[in-house]
Amino acid sequence: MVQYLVRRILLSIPTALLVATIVFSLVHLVPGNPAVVILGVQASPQDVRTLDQQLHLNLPLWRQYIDWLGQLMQGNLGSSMIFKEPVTALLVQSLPRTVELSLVALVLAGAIGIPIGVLAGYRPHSIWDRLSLGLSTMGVVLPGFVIALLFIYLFTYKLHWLAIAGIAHTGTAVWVNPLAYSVPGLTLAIGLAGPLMRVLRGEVMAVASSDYTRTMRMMGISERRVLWKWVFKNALIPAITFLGTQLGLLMGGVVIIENIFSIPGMGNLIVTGIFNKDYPVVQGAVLAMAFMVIVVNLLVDAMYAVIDPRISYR
Amino acid sequence: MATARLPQSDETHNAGYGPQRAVRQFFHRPMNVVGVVLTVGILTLGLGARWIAPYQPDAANFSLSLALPSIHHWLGTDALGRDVLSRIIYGTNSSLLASFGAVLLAFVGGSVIGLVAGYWHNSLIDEILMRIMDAILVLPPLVLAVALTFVLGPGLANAVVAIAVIFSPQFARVVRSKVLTVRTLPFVEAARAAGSGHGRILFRHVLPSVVQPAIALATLNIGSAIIVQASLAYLGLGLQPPNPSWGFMVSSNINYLSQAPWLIFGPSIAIALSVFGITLVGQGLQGQ
Repeated sequence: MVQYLVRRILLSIPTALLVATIVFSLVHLVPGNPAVVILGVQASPQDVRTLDQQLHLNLPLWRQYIDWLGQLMQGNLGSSMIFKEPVTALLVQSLPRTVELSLVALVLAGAIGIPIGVLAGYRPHSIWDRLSLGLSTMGVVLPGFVIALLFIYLFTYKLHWLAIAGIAHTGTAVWVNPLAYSVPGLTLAIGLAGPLMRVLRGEVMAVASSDYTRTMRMMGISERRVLWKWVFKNALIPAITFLGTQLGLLMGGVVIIENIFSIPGMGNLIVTGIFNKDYPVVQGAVLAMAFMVIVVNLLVDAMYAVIDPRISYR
Repeated sequence: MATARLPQSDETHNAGYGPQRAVRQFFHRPMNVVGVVLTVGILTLGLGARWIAPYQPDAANFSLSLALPSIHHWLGTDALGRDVLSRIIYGTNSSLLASFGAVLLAFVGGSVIGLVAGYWHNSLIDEILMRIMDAILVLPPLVLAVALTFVLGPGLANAVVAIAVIFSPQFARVVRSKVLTVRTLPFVEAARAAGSGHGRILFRHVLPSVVQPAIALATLNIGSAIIVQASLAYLGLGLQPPNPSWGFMVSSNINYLSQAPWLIFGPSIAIALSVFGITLVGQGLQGQ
């Protein structure tokens, strides 16, 4: 198994390198000079040339690429053109907010999706099954920003459960002001819980009709114990793996949700970077998000190898 | 990128053959009918916006700012007194154009990549193309679309290209895996023995037998493409104002959420209904 894990880690290095190359070419292979885009069409040739030098755009492409990659290896992603700070520093500030938001979303998705999904699978066509169908349809047809605004409207203006000031984000950590993460977390959780429920439902249906569950029942073990002790536990592994694979989707949601709730995380960094035409920041933040996905995929695979001893890994 | 797949209850339907029977079976399931009605309705609104919409989408009327829904303005007016319903109807155009266009582009681009990679299986070109596709799949789809639209410049055409890029790896993979099973079949060997060139073999003989799963994937992807397009528009990276797009209508009116919720929920419902309808049709077609 250790061999499998080492191999898996080594295999993700070329992927990471290729992703870095794609992010680099995003900015450099696109028609038009970034310096002109940043300064506007009316900019004087002098200003463009100065900025070209500042961004090293005057060097040949292969040189830029090698230099950029070399800097990347040393953890240097250049510096923001607006904030005049190293991109890495900005990323270090915003990363915790995004991680916290994602964790809140994952926990809420589990809290909503796991019980409903298990019950839906255990009792197909019951009220729980219908609920899971409804919630997951909602997650598919509504974009994240609509769900977010629906929740804000409902919780603050209609039900008066929350004050807008209470959920306003002031850049604090989740344990300082958990309320600020509640609605954004719930919004992201809806999108995740839907497919999670459907995966769990299928798994539970398969396990519930298996031979060993029938044996349990025959041995006189209570229905409830069979459900939560065997059926549920066996359905959990694929569900967790599934959540791991949804991280890319979650990161996309994060970009929009952080923007709506002004959470100063990586998604917000990307969006503000775009409006400021701050190339190094956008490049760095996109790369950081992609690396996060690669690392989490690796962890999910590792976890899978540890939890499930049945599968042999070549 | 996950395709929009509505959860389904697990009814099975009888296998059948013959086009008439297929059509009858398709319309036998009520959800398919709902999907077709919604899709046809939305296509009609989009194509006939000029004749159906009661007002011009950018006709401002400052004396009627933020009017409540009424007989004259079914969904009220926005801060500039523009008719919300008319703006939603006109917004259908950009939304459908972008999503259908992007999926078509991803379908063509991804299929060609899949064809080439599968046909020259295990060659350098296969390796390079599929590694790039894998790397695109690792990047969070919406994040990549946002970054691409940024470097290409905001606008509808560029949003279409960006969405096509994030969807194409799926097509490439599906087509490639199908090509791998087809390329060694006797009819392909026969074409090769008859002296056909690579191009002719690929497009005349291989393509027709691998295109079906890609078409199924395309119908399922249109719904997701509408969502991505709306999200890009929400961030101001889609169709540029004053042209109406659903996503931007929502984000530009976000401050009126308590005062005039119809400004937000009108276009939101339009997005939801179109994704719902088109996805139902896609699933119905796939179930055949």
